[in-house]
Amino acid sequence: MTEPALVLKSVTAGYGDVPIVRDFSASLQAGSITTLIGGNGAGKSTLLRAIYGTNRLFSGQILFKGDAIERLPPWERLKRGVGFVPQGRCNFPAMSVAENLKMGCYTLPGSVHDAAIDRVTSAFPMLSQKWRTEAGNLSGGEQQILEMAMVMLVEPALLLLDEPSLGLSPKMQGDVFATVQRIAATGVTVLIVEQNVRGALLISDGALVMEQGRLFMEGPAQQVRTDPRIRQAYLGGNIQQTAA
Amino acid sequence: MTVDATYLVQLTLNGIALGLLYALIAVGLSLIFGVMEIINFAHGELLMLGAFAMAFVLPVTGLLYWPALAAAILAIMLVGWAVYEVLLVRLRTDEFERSILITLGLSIILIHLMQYFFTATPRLVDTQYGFNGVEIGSIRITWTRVIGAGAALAAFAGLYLVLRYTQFGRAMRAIAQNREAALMVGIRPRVVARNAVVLAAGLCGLAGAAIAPIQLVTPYMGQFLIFKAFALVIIGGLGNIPGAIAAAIGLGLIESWIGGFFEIAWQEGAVFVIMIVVLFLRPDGLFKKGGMRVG
Repeated sequence: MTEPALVLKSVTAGYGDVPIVRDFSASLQAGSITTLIGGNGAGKSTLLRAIYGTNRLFSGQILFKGDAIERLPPWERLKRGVGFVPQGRCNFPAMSVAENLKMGCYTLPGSVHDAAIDRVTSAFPMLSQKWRTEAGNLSGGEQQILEMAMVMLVEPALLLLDEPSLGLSPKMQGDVFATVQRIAATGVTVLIVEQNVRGALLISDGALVMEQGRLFMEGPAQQVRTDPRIRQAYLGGNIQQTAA
Repeated sequence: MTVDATYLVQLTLNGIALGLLYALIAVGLSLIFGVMEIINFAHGELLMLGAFAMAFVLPVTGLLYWPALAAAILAIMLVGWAVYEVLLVRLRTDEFERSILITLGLSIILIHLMQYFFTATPRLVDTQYGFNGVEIGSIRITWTRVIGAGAALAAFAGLYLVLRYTQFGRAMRAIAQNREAALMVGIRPRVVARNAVVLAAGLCGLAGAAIAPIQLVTPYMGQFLIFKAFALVIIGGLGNIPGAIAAAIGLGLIESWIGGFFEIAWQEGAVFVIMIVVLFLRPDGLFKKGGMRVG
Protein backbone atom coordinates (compact mmCIF):
# COMPACT_ATOMS: atom_id res chain seq x y z
CA MET A 1 0.00 0.00 0.00
CA THR A 2 1.30 3.47 -0.91
CA GLU A 3 1.88 6.27 1.59
CA PRO A 4 -1.27 8.31 2.32
CA ALA A 5 -1.38 11.61 0.42
CA LEU A 6 -3.39 13.29 3.14
CA VAL A 7 -3.78 12.49 6.82
CA LEU A 8 -6.23 14.33 9.05
CA LYS A 9 -5.67 13.91 12.78
CA SER A 10 -8.43 15.01 15.16
CA VAL A 11 -9.29 18.05 13.06
CA THR A 12 -11.70 20.52 14.65
CA ALA A 13 -12.54 23.45 12.39
CA GLY A 14 -15.21 26.07 11.74
CA TYR A 15 -15.86 29.79 11.39
CA GLY A 16 -15.37 32.53 13.96
CA ASP A 17 -15.80 30.94 17.38
CA VAL A 18 -18.02 28.11 16.16
CA PRO A 19 -16.47 24.71 15.50
CA ILE A 20 -18.44 22.75 12.89
CA VAL A 21 -16.13 19.84 12.12
CA ARG A 22 -15.12 18.05 15.35
CA ASP A 23 -12.31 15.65 16.03
CA PHE A 24 -12.24 14.37 12.45
CA SER A 25 -9.54 11.84 11.53
CA ALA A 26 -9.06 10.15 8.18
CA SER A 27 -6.42 9.39 5.56
CA LEU A 28 -6.53 9.36 1.75
CA GLN A 29 -4.38 7.06 -0.37
CA ALA A 30 -2.35 8.73 -3.09
CA GLY A 31 -4.06 8.64 -6.49
CA SER A 32 -7.45 7.67 -5.06
CA ILE A 33 -10.86 9.33 -5.42
CA THR A 34 -12.73 9.70 -2.14
CA THR A 35 -16.29 10.97 -1.79
CA LEU A 36 -17.22 12.87 1.35
CA ILE A 37 -20.88 12.21 2.14
CA GLY A 38 -23.13 13.96 4.65
CA GLY A 39 -26.36 15.84 5.04
CA ASN A 40 -26.74 19.61 4.79
CA GLY A 41 -24.71 21.29 7.51
CA ALA A 42 -22.75 18.12 8.33
CA GLY A 43 -19.50 20.06 7.82
CA LYS A 44 -18.33 18.69 4.45
CA SER A 45 -17.43 22.06 2.90
CA THR A 46 -15.99 23.21 6.23
CA LEU A 47 -13.63 20.24 6.21
CA LEU A 48 -12.46 20.98 2.65
CA ARG A 49 -11.87 24.63 3.58
CA ALA A 50 -9.91 23.56 6.65
CA ILE A 51 -7.66 21.37 4.48
CA TYR A 52 -7.04 24.33 2.12
CA GLY A 53 -6.75 26.82 4.98
CA THR A 54 -9.56 29.29 4.28
CA ASN A 55 -11.36 28.92 7.60
CA ARG A 56 -10.41 28.50 11.23
CA LEU A 57 -8.69 25.36 12.46
CA PHE A 58 -9.27 25.08 16.20
CA SER A 59 -7.13 21.99 16.76
CA GLY A 60 -5.74 18.92 15.07
CA GLN A 61 -3.13 18.22 12.44
CA ILE A 62 -3.22 18.09 8.65
CA LEU A 63 -0.38 16.11 7.06
CA PHE A 64 0.15 16.38 3.31
CA LYS A 65 2.75 13.99 1.90
CA GLY A 66 3.95 13.59 5.49
CA ASP A 67 4.40 17.32 6.19
CA ALA A 68 2.23 19.30 8.61
CA ILE A 69 0.50 22.06 6.61
CA GLU A 70 -2.14 23.26 9.05
CA ARG A 71 -0.25 26.46 9.88
CA LEU A 72 0.39 27.44 6.25
CA PRO A 73 -1.75 30.03 4.43
CA PRO A 74 -3.75 28.80 1.40
CA TRP A 75 -1.23 30.06 -1.19
CA GLU A 76 1.56 28.09 0.46
CA ARG A 77 -0.61 24.95 0.51
CA LEU A 78 -1.34 25.50 -3.17
CA LYS A 79 2.38 25.81 -3.92
CA ARG A 80 2.93 22.48 -2.12
CA GLY A 81 0.29 20.78 -4.26
CA VAL A 82 -3.06 21.19 -2.51
CA GLY A 83 -5.68 22.47 -4.99
CA PHE A 84 -9.20 23.51 -4.00
CA VAL A 85 -12.20 24.27 -6.20
CA PRO A 86 -14.87 25.77 -3.90
CA GLN A 87 -18.60 25.38 -4.26
CA GLY A 88 -20.52 27.68 -6.61
CA ARG A 89 -19.07 29.69 -9.44
CA CYS A 90 -15.46 30.28 -8.57
CA ASN A 91 -13.88 32.09 -11.49
CA PHE A 92 -13.36 35.69 -12.58
CA PRO A 93 -16.57 36.41 -14.50
CA ALA A 94 -15.49 39.67 -16.17
CA MET A 95 -12.21 38.15 -17.43
CA SER A 96 -11.83 36.05 -20.56
CA VAL A 97 -11.08 32.33 -20.39
CA ALA A 98 -7.49 33.18 -21.38
CA GLU A 99 -7.16 35.66 -18.50
CA ASN A 100 -8.71 33.20 -16.04
CA LEU A 101 -6.11 30.61 -17.04
CA LYS A 102 -3.39 33.23 -16.69
CA MET A 103 -4.63 33.86 -13.15
CA GLY A 104 -4.53 30.12 -12.51
CA CYS A 105 -0.77 30.42 -13.11
CA TYR A 106 -0.46 33.06 -10.38
CA THR A 107 1.82 31.02 -8.12
CA LEU A 108 3.97 29.73 -11.00
CA PRO A 109 7.08 31.46 -12.37
CA GLY A 110 6.31 33.47 -15.53
CA SER A 111 8.60 31.28 -17.65
CA VAL A 112 6.31 28.24 -17.33
CA HIS A 113 2.93 29.95 -17.82
CA ASP A 114 2.63 29.19 -21.54
CA ALA A 115 3.61 25.52 -21.14
CA ALA A 116 1.16 25.05 -18.26
CA ILE A 117 -1.67 26.66 -20.23
CA ASP A 118 -0.84 24.53 -23.32
CA ARG A 119 -0.96 21.39 -21.20
CA VAL A 120 -4.33 22.24 -19.68
CA THR A 121 -5.94 23.37 -22.93
CA SER A 122 -4.82 20.09 -24.53
CA ALA A 123 -6.64 18.24 -21.75
CA PHE A 124 -9.70 20.51 -21.99
CA PRO A 125 -10.03 21.56 -25.68
CA MET A 126 -13.27 23.46 -24.94
CA LEU A 127 -11.16 26.15 -23.29
CA SER A 128 -9.32 26.93 -26.54
CA GLN A 129 -12.62 27.25 -28.39
CA LYS A 130 -13.90 29.78 -25.83
CA TRP A 131 -10.55 31.54 -25.45
CA ARG A 132 -11.84 35.12 -25.62
CA THR A 133 -15.25 34.51 -24.02
CA GLU A 134 -15.80 36.09 -20.61
CA ALA A 135 -16.03 33.34 -17.99
CA GLY A 136 -19.35 34.74 -16.79
CA ASN A 137 -20.83 34.01 -20.22
CA LEU A 138 -19.87 30.30 -20.24
CA SER A 139 -22.45 27.62 -19.39
CA GLY A 140 -22.42 26.20 -15.85
CA GLY A 141 -20.63 23.04 -16.96
CA GLU A 142 -18.04 25.01 -18.95
CA GLN A 143 -17.38 27.21 -15.95
CA GLN A 144 -16.87 24.14 -13.76
CA ILE A 145 -14.38 22.71 -16.25
CA LEU A 146 -12.61 26.09 -16.40
CA GLU A 147 -12.34 26.20 -12.60
CA MET A 148 -10.86 22.71 -12.43
CA ALA A 149 -8.46 23.64 -15.22
CA MET A 150 -7.39 26.81 -13.34
CA VAL A 151 -6.35 24.65 -10.39
CA MET A 152 -4.84 21.89 -12.58
CA LEU A 153 -2.40 24.48 -14.00
CA VAL A 154 -0.27 24.14 -10.87
CA GLU A 155 -0.35 20.31 -11.16
CA PRO A 156 -1.68 19.67 -7.64
CA ALA A 157 -1.12 16.28 -6.04
CA LEU A 158 -4.36 16.68 -4.06
CA LEU A 159 -7.54 18.13 -5.55
CA LEU A 160 -10.40 19.15 -3.25
CA LEU A 161 -13.69 19.54 -5.14
CA ASP A 162 -16.75 21.02 -3.47
CA GLU A 163 -19.98 20.18 -5.30
CA PRO A 164 -18.57 20.25 -8.82
CA SER A 165 -21.82 19.09 -10.44
CA LEU A 166 -24.11 21.49 -8.54
CA GLY A 167 -26.74 22.99 -10.83
CA LEU A 168 -25.59 21.11 -13.93
CA SER A 169 -27.70 19.06 -16.33
CA PRO A 170 -27.36 15.25 -16.04
CA LYS A 171 -25.29 15.25 -19.25
CA MET A 172 -22.92 17.90 -17.90
CA GLN A 173 -22.71 16.10 -14.55
CA GLY A 174 -21.52 13.03 -16.44
CA ASP A 175 -18.89 15.15 -18.23
CA VAL A 176 -17.67 16.57 -14.93
CA PHE A 177 -17.40 13.10 -13.33
CA ALA A 178 -15.53 11.83 -16.39
CA THR A 179 -13.15 14.80 -16.05
CA VAL A 180 -12.55 13.98 -12.38
CA GLN A 181 -11.74 10.38 -13.34
CA ARG A 182 -9.30 11.56 -16.00
CA ILE A 183 -7.59 13.84 -13.49
CA ALA A 184 -7.30 11.02 -10.91
CA ALA A 185 -5.92 8.72 -13.59
CA THR A 186 -2.88 11.01 -13.81
CA GLY A 187 -2.06 10.22 -10.16
CA VAL A 188 -3.87 13.13 -8.49
CA THR A 189 -5.61 12.33 -5.19
CA VAL A 190 -9.18 13.63 -5.24
CA LEU A 191 -11.46 14.40 -2.31
CA ILE A 192 -14.91 15.28 -3.56
CA VAL A 193 -18.03 16.61 -1.87
CA GLU A 194 -21.01 15.97 -4.13
CA GLN A 195 -24.78 16.37 -3.95
CA ASN A 196 -25.02 13.62 -6.57
CA VAL A 197 -23.79 10.98 -4.11
CA ARG A 198 -24.75 8.15 -6.43
CA GLY A 199 -22.66 9.48 -9.32
CA ALA A 200 -19.72 10.38 -7.11
CA LEU A 201 -19.59 6.98 -5.40
CA LEU A 202 -19.52 5.24 -8.77
CA ILE A 203 -16.25 6.94 -9.69
CA SER A 204 -14.75 6.75 -6.18
CA ASP A 205 -12.40 4.31 -4.54
CA GLY A 206 -13.31 5.27 -1.00
CA ALA A 207 -15.96 7.17 0.95
CA LEU A 208 -16.11 9.11 4.19
CA VAL A 209 -19.48 9.74 5.80
CA MET A 210 -19.96 12.74 8.10
CA GLU A 211 -22.72 13.41 10.56
CA GLN A 212 -22.91 16.56 12.66
CA GLY A 213 -19.27 17.36 12.01
CA ARG A 214 -17.91 13.95 12.98
CA LEU A 215 -16.77 10.93 11.01
CA PHE A 216 -19.64 8.47 10.99
CA MET A 217 -18.36 5.80 8.61
CA GLU A 218 -15.48 5.17 6.23
CA GLY A 219 -14.62 2.42 3.82
CA PRO A 220 -14.37 1.42 0.17
CA ALA A 221 -16.96 3.20 -2.01
CA GLN A 222 -18.51 -0.13 -3.03
CA GLN A 223 -19.05 -1.08 0.60
CA VAL A 224 -20.41 2.31 1.65
CA ARG A 225 -22.87 2.53 -1.23
CA THR A 226 -24.37 -0.85 -0.38
CA ASP A 227 -24.70 -0.04 3.32
CA PRO A 228 -28.42 0.05 4.07
CA ARG A 229 -28.14 3.17 6.25
CA ILE A 230 -26.34 5.09 3.51
CA ARG A 231 -28.74 3.87 0.84
CA GLN A 232 -31.69 5.03 2.89
CA ALA A 233 -30.22 8.38 3.91
CA TYR A 234 -28.46 9.49 0.71
CA LEU A 235 -29.21 7.21 -2.21
CA GLY A 236 -32.93 6.63 -2.07
CA GLY A 237 -32.93 3.12 -3.48
CA ASN A 238 -30.86 1.04 -5.83
CA ILE A 239 -27.66 2.31 -7.35
CA GLN A 240 -27.39 2.13 -11.10
CA GLN A 241 -24.51 3.00 -13.37
CA THR A 242 -25.60 6.56 -14.27
CA ALA A 243 -22.31 8.37 -14.32
CA ALA A 244 -18.86 8.02 -15.71
CA MET B 1 -27.36 85.32 -22.90
CA THR B 2 -24.99 85.19 -25.86
CA VAL B 3 -22.30 82.54 -25.87
CA ASP B 4 -18.88 83.42 -27.18
CA ALA B 5 -17.45 80.35 -28.98
CA THR B 6 -13.91 81.06 -27.81
CA TYR B 7 -15.08 81.39 -24.24
CA LEU B 8 -17.01 78.11 -24.54
CA VAL B 9 -13.97 76.26 -25.91
CA GLN B 10 -11.84 77.74 -23.14
CA LEU B 11 -14.32 76.57 -20.50
CA THR B 12 -14.51 73.15 -22.16
CA LEU B 13 -10.73 72.69 -22.12
CA ASN B 14 -10.57 73.80 -18.49
CA GLY B 15 -13.43 71.41 -17.71
CA ILE B 16 -11.63 68.48 -19.32
CA ALA B 17 -8.44 69.26 -17.38
CA LEU B 18 -10.42 69.50 -14.13
CA GLY B 19 -12.33 66.30 -14.96
CA LEU B 20 -9.11 64.39 -15.54
CA LEU B 21 -7.89 65.39 -12.10
CA TYR B 22 -11.20 64.29 -10.56
CA ALA B 23 -10.80 61.04 -12.46
CA LEU B 24 -7.41 60.38 -10.83
CA ILE B 25 -9.09 60.52 -7.43
CA ALA B 26 -12.17 58.53 -8.47
CA VAL B 27 -10.08 55.80 -10.09
CA GLY B 28 -7.96 55.46 -6.95
CA LEU B 29 -11.09 55.23 -4.84
CA SER B 30 -12.48 52.63 -7.22
CA LEU B 31 -9.28 50.57 -7.01
CA ILE B 32 -9.35 50.53 -3.21
CA PHE B 33 -13.07 49.76 -3.11
CA GLY B 34 -12.66 46.97 -5.65
CA VAL B 35 -9.91 45.21 -3.72
CA MET B 36 -10.85 45.99 -0.10
CA GLU B 37 -14.58 46.79 -0.29
CA ILE B 38 -14.06 49.98 1.70
CA ILE B 39 -14.34 53.67 0.85
CA ASN B 40 -11.23 55.58 1.81
CA PHE B 41 -12.65 58.85 3.13
CA ALA B 42 -9.10 60.14 3.65
CA HIS B 43 -8.49 59.99 -0.11
CA GLY B 44 -9.04 63.73 -0.59
CA GLU B 45 -6.40 64.37 2.07
CA LEU B 46 -3.89 62.30 0.10
CA LEU B 47 -4.47 64.77 -2.73
CA MET B 48 -3.99 67.66 -0.28
CA LEU B 49 -0.73 66.11 0.94
CA GLY B 50 0.36 65.72 -2.70
CA ALA B 51 -0.28 69.41 -3.27
CA PHE B 52 1.68 70.35 -0.12
CA ALA B 53 4.51 68.01 -1.13
CA MET B 54 4.66 69.80 -4.50
CA ALA B 55 4.64 73.17 -2.71
CA PHE B 56 7.52 72.13 -0.44
CA VAL B 57 9.67 70.36 -3.05
CA LEU B 58 9.44 72.97 -5.80
CA PRO B 59 11.65 75.54 -4.02
CA VAL B 60 14.22 72.77 -3.39
CA THR B 61 14.35 71.84 -7.08
CA GLY B 62 14.65 75.49 -8.13
CA LEU B 63 10.99 75.45 -9.31
CA LEU B 64 11.71 72.57 -11.70
CA TYR B 65 8.31 70.98 -12.32
CA TRP B 66 9.07 67.35 -13.21
CA PRO B 67 11.43 66.37 -10.35
CA ALA B 68 9.02 67.98 -7.89
CA LEU B 69 6.09 66.09 -9.45
CA ALA B 70 7.96 62.77 -9.21
CA ALA B 71 8.99 63.46 -5.60
CA ALA B 72 5.42 64.37 -4.62
CA ILE B 73 4.02 61.19 -6.18
CA LEU B 74 6.62 59.03 -4.43
CA ALA B 75 6.00 60.78 -1.10
CA ILE B 76 2.24 60.14 -1.29
CA MET B 77 2.80 56.51 -2.31
CA LEU B 78 4.85 56.19 0.87
CA VAL B 79 2.03 57.79 2.86
CA GLY B 80 -0.39 55.31 1.24
CA TRP B 81 1.86 52.41 2.20
CA ALA B 82 2.02 53.65 5.82
CA VAL B 83 -1.75 54.20 5.98
CA TYR B 84 -2.29 50.63 4.77
CA GLU B 85 0.28 49.00 7.04
CA VAL B 86 -0.75 50.92 10.16
CA LEU B 87 -4.53 51.16 9.76
CA LEU B 88 -6.20 49.49 6.80
CA VAL B 89 -4.43 46.14 7.18
CA ARG B 90 -6.45 45.62 10.36
CA LEU B 91 -9.79 45.83 8.54
CA ARG B 92 -11.66 42.77 7.37
CA THR B 93 -13.84 42.97 4.27
CA ASP B 94 -17.02 42.75 6.36
CA GLU B 95 -16.06 45.80 8.46
CA PHE B 96 -17.42 48.54 6.23
CA GLU B 97 -18.72 50.68 9.12
CA ARG B 98 -15.38 50.47 10.93
CA SER B 99 -13.60 51.46 7.71
CA ILE B 100 -15.73 54.62 7.47
CA LEU B 101 -14.84 55.65 11.03
CA ILE B 102 -11.14 54.93 10.57
CA THR B 103 -10.71 56.69 7.23
CA LEU B 104 -12.96 59.62 8.16
CA GLY B 105 -11.03 59.99 11.41
CA LEU B 106 -7.75 59.89 9.51
CA SER B 107 -9.05 62.56 7.14
CA ILE B 108 -9.90 64.91 10.01
CA ILE B 109 -6.57 64.25 11.76
CA LEU B 110 -4.59 64.96 8.58
CA ILE B 111 -6.45 68.20 7.90
CA HIS B 112 -5.89 69.52 11.40
CA LEU B 113 -2.29 68.36 11.62
CA MET B 114 -1.52 70.23 8.39
CA GLN B 115 -3.36 73.29 9.67
CA TYR B 116 -1.47 73.13 12.99
CA PHE B 117 1.94 72.87 11.36
CA PHE B 118 1.46 74.96 8.23
CA THR B 119 -1.58 77.21 9.02
CA ALA B 120 -4.75 77.48 6.97
CA THR B 121 -3.39 80.36 4.90
CA PRO B 122 -3.79 79.46 1.22
CA ARG B 123 -0.50 78.98 -0.62
CA LEU B 124 0.20 80.03 -4.17
CA VAL B 125 2.54 77.52 -5.82
CA ASP B 126 4.86 78.73 -8.56
CA THR B 127 6.73 76.53 -11.04
CA GLN B 128 9.25 77.02 -13.83
CA TYR B 129 6.27 77.48 -16.17
CA GLY B 130 4.75 80.33 -14.16
CA PHE B 131 1.63 81.48 -16.01
CA ASN B 132 3.07 80.65 -19.42
CA GLY B 133 0.82 78.70 -21.68
CA VAL B 134 -0.12 77.67 -25.19
CA GLU B 135 -2.18 79.92 -27.38
CA ILE B 136 -4.24 78.59 -30.23
CA GLY B 137 -5.94 81.57 -31.86
CA SER B 138 -7.60 83.42 -29.07
CA ILE B 139 -7.72 80.37 -26.81
CA ARG B 140 -5.13 80.20 -24.07
CA ILE B 141 -4.36 77.44 -21.64
CA THR B 142 -1.49 77.39 -19.14
CA TRP B 143 1.29 74.80 -19.38
CA THR B 144 0.56 73.59 -15.89
CA ARG B 145 -2.98 72.66 -16.99
CA VAL B 146 -1.76 71.05 -20.22
CA ILE B 147 0.88 69.04 -18.37
CA GLY B 148 -1.52 68.11 -15.57
CA ALA B 149 -4.04 66.79 -18.11
CA GLY B 150 -1.31 65.03 -20.10
CA ALA B 151 0.11 63.39 -16.97
CA ALA B 152 -3.37 62.22 -15.97
CA LEU B 153 -3.92 60.70 -19.43
CA ALA B 154 -0.51 59.00 -19.27
CA ALA B 155 -1.38 57.66 -15.81
CA PHE B 156 -4.66 56.21 -17.10
CA ALA B 157 -2.90 54.59 -20.05
CA GLY B 158 -0.30 53.12 -17.71
CA LEU B 159 -2.97 51.92 -15.30
CA TYR B 160 -4.88 50.29 -18.16
CA LEU B 161 -1.77 48.41 -19.29
CA VAL B 162 -0.97 47.31 -15.73
CA LEU B 163 -4.50 46.10 -14.96
CA ARG B 164 -4.93 44.42 -18.31
CA TYR B 165 -1.58 42.85 -19.05
CA THR B 166 0.32 42.20 -15.81
CA GLN B 167 -0.31 39.63 -13.06
CA PHE B 168 0.23 42.50 -10.58
CA GLY B 169 -2.79 44.33 -12.01
CA ARG B 170 -4.88 41.29 -12.92
CA ALA B 171 -4.67 40.18 -9.28
CA MET B 172 -6.48 43.42 -8.30
CA ARG B 173 -9.23 42.78 -10.84
CA ALA B 174 -9.37 39.16 -9.73
CA ILE B 175 -10.01 40.03 -6.08
CA ALA B 176 -12.60 42.62 -7.11
CA GLN B 177 -14.44 39.97 -9.15
CA ASN B 178 -14.31 36.95 -6.87
CA ARG B 179 -12.44 36.90 -3.58
CA GLU B 180 -12.81 33.15 -3.11
CA ALA B 181 -11.56 32.38 -6.62
CA ALA B 182 -8.59 34.66 -5.88
CA LEU B 183 -7.70 32.47 -2.90
CA MET B 184 -8.23 29.40 -5.08
CA VAL B 185 -5.47 30.50 -7.45
CA GLY B 186 -3.13 31.49 -4.62
CA ILE B 187 -3.47 35.28 -4.58
CA ARG B 188 -2.45 36.88 -1.29
CA PRO B 189 -5.24 39.40 -0.54
CA ARG B 190 -3.20 41.59 1.81
CA VAL B 191 -0.34 42.02 -0.63
CA VAL B 192 -2.75 42.94 -3.42
CA ALA B 193 -4.68 45.30 -1.12
CA ARG B 194 -1.43 47.05 -0.15
CA ASN B 195 -0.47 47.36 -3.82
CA ALA B 196 -3.88 48.84 -4.65
CA VAL B 197 -3.67 51.41 -1.84
CA VAL B 198 -0.13 52.44 -2.82
CA LEU B 199 -1.14 52.71 -6.50
CA ALA B 200 -4.26 54.70 -5.62
CA ALA B 201 -2.19 56.98 -3.37
CA GLY B 202 0.23 57.52 -6.26
CA LEU B 203 -2.65 58.63 -8.50
CA CYS B 204 -3.82 60.97 -5.73
CA GLY B 205 -0.30 62.31 -5.29
CA LEU B 206 -0.18 63.02 -9.01
CA ALA B 207 -3.55 64.79 -8.85
CA GLY B 208 -2.47 66.88 -5.86
CA ALA B 209 0.89 67.79 -7.35
CA ALA B 210 -0.68 68.69 -10.70
CA ILE B 211 -3.42 70.78 -9.09
CA ALA B 212 -1.02 72.68 -6.79
CA PRO B 213 0.14 75.24 -9.40
CA ILE B 214 -3.44 75.62 -10.71
CA GLN B 215 -5.36 76.43 -7.54
CA LEU B 216 -4.55 77.62 -4.02
CA VAL B 217 -3.18 74.96 -1.70
CA THR B 218 -4.89 74.68 1.70
CA PRO B 219 -5.35 71.90 4.27
CA TYR B 220 -9.05 71.83 3.34
CA MET B 221 -8.67 71.47 -0.42
CA GLY B 222 -9.38 67.72 -0.45
CA GLN B 223 -12.36 67.79 1.86
CA PHE B 224 -15.20 68.09 -0.67
CA LEU B 225 -13.38 66.17 -3.36
CA ILE B 226 -13.96 62.85 -1.61
CA PHE B 227 -17.73 63.30 -1.81
CA LYS B 228 -17.56 64.18 -5.49
CA ALA B 229 -15.22 61.27 -6.15
CA PHE B 230 -17.45 58.87 -4.21
CA ALA B 231 -20.45 59.95 -6.29
CA LEU B 232 -18.39 59.59 -9.47
CA VAL B 233 -17.43 56.04 -8.56
CA ILE B 234 -21.14 55.16 -8.21
CA ILE B 235 -22.25 57.12 -11.29
CA GLY B 236 -19.49 55.46 -13.31
CA GLY B 237 -20.82 52.02 -12.27
CA LEU B 238 -19.24 50.80 -9.03
CA GLY B 239 -15.95 49.16 -9.95
CA ASN B 240 -16.01 50.29 -13.59
CA ILE B 241 -12.81 52.28 -14.12
CA PRO B 242 -13.49 53.70 -17.63
CA GLY B 243 -16.99 54.54 -16.33
CA ALA B 244 -15.50 56.51 -13.44
CA ILE B 245 -13.16 58.38 -15.82
CA ALA B 246 -16.04 59.26 -18.18
CA ALA B 247 -18.22 60.43 -15.28
CA ALA B 248 -15.33 62.52 -13.89
CA ILE B 249 -14.72 64.27 -17.20
CA GLY B 250 -18.47 64.91 -17.48
CA LEU B 251 -18.46 66.44 -14.00
CA GLY B 252 -15.42 68.59 -14.79
CA LEU B 253 -17.16 69.93 -17.90
CA ILE B 254 -20.44 70.65 -16.12
CA GLU B 255 -18.62 72.35 -13.27
CA SER B 256 -16.58 74.48 -15.64
CA TRP B 257 -19.60 75.49 -17.73
CA ILE B 258 -21.72 76.34 -14.68
CA GLY B 259 -18.85 78.35 -13.20
CA GLY B 260 -18.36 80.13 -16.51
CA PHE B 261 -21.94 81.05 -17.26
CA PHE B 262 -23.48 81.52 -13.82
CA GLU B 263 -22.40 82.99 -10.54
CA ILE B 264 -19.62 80.99 -8.93
CA ALA B 265 -21.84 80.31 -5.90
CA TRP B 266 -23.96 78.03 -8.09
CA GLN B 267 -21.04 75.87 -9.11
CA GLU B 268 -20.66 73.44 -6.18
CA GLY B 269 -24.38 73.26 -5.36
CA ALA B 270 -25.42 72.62 -8.96
CA VAL B 271 -22.83 69.88 -9.35
CA PHE B 272 -24.20 67.97 -6.36
CA VAL B 273 -27.83 68.54 -7.51
CA ILE B 274 -26.95 67.01 -10.88
CA MET B 275 -25.21 64.06 -9.25
CA ILE B 276 -28.19 63.41 -6.95
CA VAL B 277 -30.59 63.55 -9.92
CA VAL B 278 -28.42 61.10 -11.90
CA LEU B 279 -28.31 58.71 -8.94
CA PHE B 280 -32.11 58.93 -8.57
CA LEU B 281 -32.62 58.16 -12.25
CA ARG B 282 -29.88 55.52 -12.51
CA PRO B 283 -29.15 54.17 -9.00
CA ASP B 284 -26.59 51.72 -10.37
CA GLY B 285 -24.78 54.42 -12.33
CA LEU B 286 -24.53 55.16 -16.02
CA PHE B 287 -22.24 52.30 -16.98
CA LYS B 288 -22.02 48.56 -16.41
CA LYS B 289 -21.27 47.77 -12.80
CA GLY B 290 -18.64 45.66 -11.12
CA GLY B 291 -15.59 43.53 -11.64
CA MET B 292 -13.08 46.38 -11.90
CA ARG B 293 -13.68 46.42 -15.63
CA VAL B 294 -10.95 48.02 -17.69
CA GLY B 295 -12.61 47.94 -21.08
